[in-house]
Amino acid sequence: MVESFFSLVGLVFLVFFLVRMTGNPADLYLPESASQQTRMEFNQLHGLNDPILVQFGRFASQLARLDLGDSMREGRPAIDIVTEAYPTSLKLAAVTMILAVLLSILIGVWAAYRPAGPFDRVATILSLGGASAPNFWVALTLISIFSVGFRLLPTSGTGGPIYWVLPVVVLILQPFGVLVVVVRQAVMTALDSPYIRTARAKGAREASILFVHALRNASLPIVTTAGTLAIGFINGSVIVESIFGWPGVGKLMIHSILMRDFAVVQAVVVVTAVAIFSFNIVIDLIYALLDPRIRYR
Amino acid sequence: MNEDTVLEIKDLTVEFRSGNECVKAVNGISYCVKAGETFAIVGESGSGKTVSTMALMRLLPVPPAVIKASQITFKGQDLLNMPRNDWRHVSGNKISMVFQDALAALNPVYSVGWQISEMFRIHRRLDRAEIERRTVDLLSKVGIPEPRQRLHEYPHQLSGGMRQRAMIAMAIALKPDLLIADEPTTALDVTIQAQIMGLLKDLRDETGMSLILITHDLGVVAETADRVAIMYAGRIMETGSIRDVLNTPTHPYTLGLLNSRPQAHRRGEPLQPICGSPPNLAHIPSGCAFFPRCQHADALCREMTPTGVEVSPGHFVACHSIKTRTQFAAAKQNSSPVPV
Amino acid sequence: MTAIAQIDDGLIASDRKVAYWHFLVRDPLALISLVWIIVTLVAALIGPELLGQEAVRMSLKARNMSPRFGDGGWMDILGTDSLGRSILARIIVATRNTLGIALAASVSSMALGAIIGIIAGYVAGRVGKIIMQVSDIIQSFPSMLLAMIVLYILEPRAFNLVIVLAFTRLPVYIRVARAEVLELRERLFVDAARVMGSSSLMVILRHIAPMAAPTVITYWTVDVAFVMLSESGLSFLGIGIQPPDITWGLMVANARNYLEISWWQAFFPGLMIMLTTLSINILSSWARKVSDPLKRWKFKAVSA
Repeated sequence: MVESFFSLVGLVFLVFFLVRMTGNPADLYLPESASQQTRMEFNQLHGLNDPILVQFGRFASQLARLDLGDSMREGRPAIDIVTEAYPTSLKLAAVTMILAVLLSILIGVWAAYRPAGPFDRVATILSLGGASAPNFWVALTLISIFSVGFRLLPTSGTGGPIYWVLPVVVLILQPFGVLVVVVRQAVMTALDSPYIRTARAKGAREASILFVHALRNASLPIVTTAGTLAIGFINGSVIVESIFGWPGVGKLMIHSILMRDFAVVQAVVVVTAVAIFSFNIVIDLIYALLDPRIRYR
Repeated sequence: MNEDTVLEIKDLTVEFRSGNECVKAVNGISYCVKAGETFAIVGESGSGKTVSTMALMRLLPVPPAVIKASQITFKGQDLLNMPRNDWRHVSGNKISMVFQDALAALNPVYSVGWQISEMFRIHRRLDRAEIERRTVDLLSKVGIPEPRQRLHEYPHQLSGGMRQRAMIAMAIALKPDLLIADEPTTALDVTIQAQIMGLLKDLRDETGMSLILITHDLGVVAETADRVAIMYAGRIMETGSIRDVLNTPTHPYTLGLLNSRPQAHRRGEPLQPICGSPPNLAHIPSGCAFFPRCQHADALCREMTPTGVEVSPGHFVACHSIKTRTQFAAAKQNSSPVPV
Repeated sequence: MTAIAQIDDGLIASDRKVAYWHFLVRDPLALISLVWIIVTLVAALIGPELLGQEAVRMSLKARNMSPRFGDGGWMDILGTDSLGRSILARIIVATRNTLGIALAASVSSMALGAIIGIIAGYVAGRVGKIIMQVSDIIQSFPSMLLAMIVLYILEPRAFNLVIVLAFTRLPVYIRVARAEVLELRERLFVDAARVMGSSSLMVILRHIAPMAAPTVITYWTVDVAFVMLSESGLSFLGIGIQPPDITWGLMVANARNYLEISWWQAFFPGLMIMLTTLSINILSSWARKVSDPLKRWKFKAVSA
């Protein structure tokens, strides 16, 4: 755990340097006709004239005070901008992930129970499709059909439940596809174990055997995969937020990079790193909850 | 048919089919178990002793397994064609099973108490307090110290002997009429073995339940069983009371088994194993399965599968050569096919 | 049918090839996938030469035409884009870049990752630990964010894209290769080779690498599809391939504004991506099923 903390710290500092290399923000924020003098003043104002190590020192000390600087674009503290954008992304991620886990368990367990049966085939097709479909294409196609064609769903924007339908459907494909395979595999392994035979001999109902006896034993690999997918969500959500116009972290990130808003980019990276770190701790706790053998080592 | 016959099995066959292959794990066995008695099934690995009881308990995956029998009755009820839902009420409740390796057979992620009390949750309507009370009682009945504490412990936290006791507690929770114990002591030390077998005996005496004991260990059988069946290559070779079979073993296989044990009074002498190895169950030849390894065999043994010959009341042997052997010069010529 | 039933694991090499062919033929899905991949490879190889002109021929008259078999003949069968260019031609021409980038990135990250992973596993100790730490850092961060930042510094070009994609996939190969090596290192034949005087490098090259290869290659097959999707995504966002180069992802991006009037512009290039990655995934899944002796037995049982 200590190691992963240092990893993420290393990453943040790495990004600091990288971001500085994307060019001079003055070019973007000042009109082209601005004089050299104006540029100098701009740079001085934002501390960009100082040698890079001095800038880094300033960044580090500010970080220690949890001050991530001000956004160049909006003139507000960067941390505020980031924390405003995060809930949107988190909500979308949470809803999608919960749905993905529930659906994949339902279908995956049944597929494991009746291998080569209809559910198994459906599961295989869905998972292959989910892993292969480019999410932006699915998004645009669905928009064509349901928004433009049938006028059933909005093309973009946030709001009531109806605005969630398409983004969630697009975002859920990949995690569902991966999870279904993992669930099926893990449950099949569990079902082959001797304790399932004991449970049958006890007269337990089939549903209980699947969802109580087998599933709990299968849960570790499922949780591991779900955890990895959740972190990777930020990738997919960049595209979904961009297409559907959701003001989340992904969209913020693209904008900030294109606009060379250093402070915001750094802030996003720092907050994301912290989030990932905390998330991993939560996953470890869940492990211990699920498997007593880990608990009582 | 006796009124105190608890279980009766006739012509049970279990095959495993995959592709073109057909493995005959159990090849037409019949036996019965009376109330309160301990019936031991003895045989080496691959003899079909475990598979036959798994088939009975519906624990075999049905394709690839194919189970056939002319009769399986439990206290008068037909088990063979009993619908799944009805069977679920019998399994664990009236007929219960204890498995060999308790660490593997117990679910690692649930506490021992949870698994035992699951029996009540499945088959009885009781409130939680009552269930907990009964579970604690069971744990102490099987000789587990500090039962209240053990309730919340997990299988990996208990010792081998404790785990086996816990499994037994689970199996007898609902006071079944018949308990099947599949090699209950094989994975344990000798001293623990004795304790577990003693426990089973006590439980049997106390509740009057019948016990089917599956084992390869003749010593365990001698101490605990009333009657015994010797299985080889999916068939029963000899069956009868303990006294009959162990004192006057008749089938060449039984003789071989008894002779091959290390015995104190023959110390210093070389061991006498049975030559050869068990047959490939996918290609069982006609005739007696033991033929290739038998010292008393003749041509008839290769042609015809022997049926049970009653050499003395209740003592059946499936062998052609009895008549030609001096031990039973006065054996009757009857061939009653199945002991009843 | 009987040929399959007679197959067991004591096959000699030529029998094995025949066996695989039999399995392939019997599984229509895998067969179709293979055919599709061959078609795309052919398109990648000769496409730009054959249809290069066609792909850039603009025509104001023929803008945003729906799929038809009209004046342009076969070329218009998938419609035209906002500049009147044949979508079919552009798709075929774009195959080279799309496949090329995906292959280049995945193969280089596999090669480099495997080497690093083998070193990490074989040498172990502090060096191994440090390698894994760095690998974890790279892996723990969402690759798209990383890619966006890096591409913006380096300016998006095909070459840089390949580097970035390869970089973000490195950790997976490092981890897999290292795991294989750790397991193999403990095996007797390694000790035997050492005792007989092989130097460490020889041991690695001759003994360990070949045994670790199948697993690594298995990951590669899954990875190619993933890299292709990543490139498409990045190009879609505008930070991947830049015009005048063309990939399927970029075609979809260009079509975004014309969704209402000509949906086919976005649909067909994206469909290509989907079909190609699907084929790769089907084939790799099939290959894994068939090369696993345990599962092949099940294969046998079901088909016989």
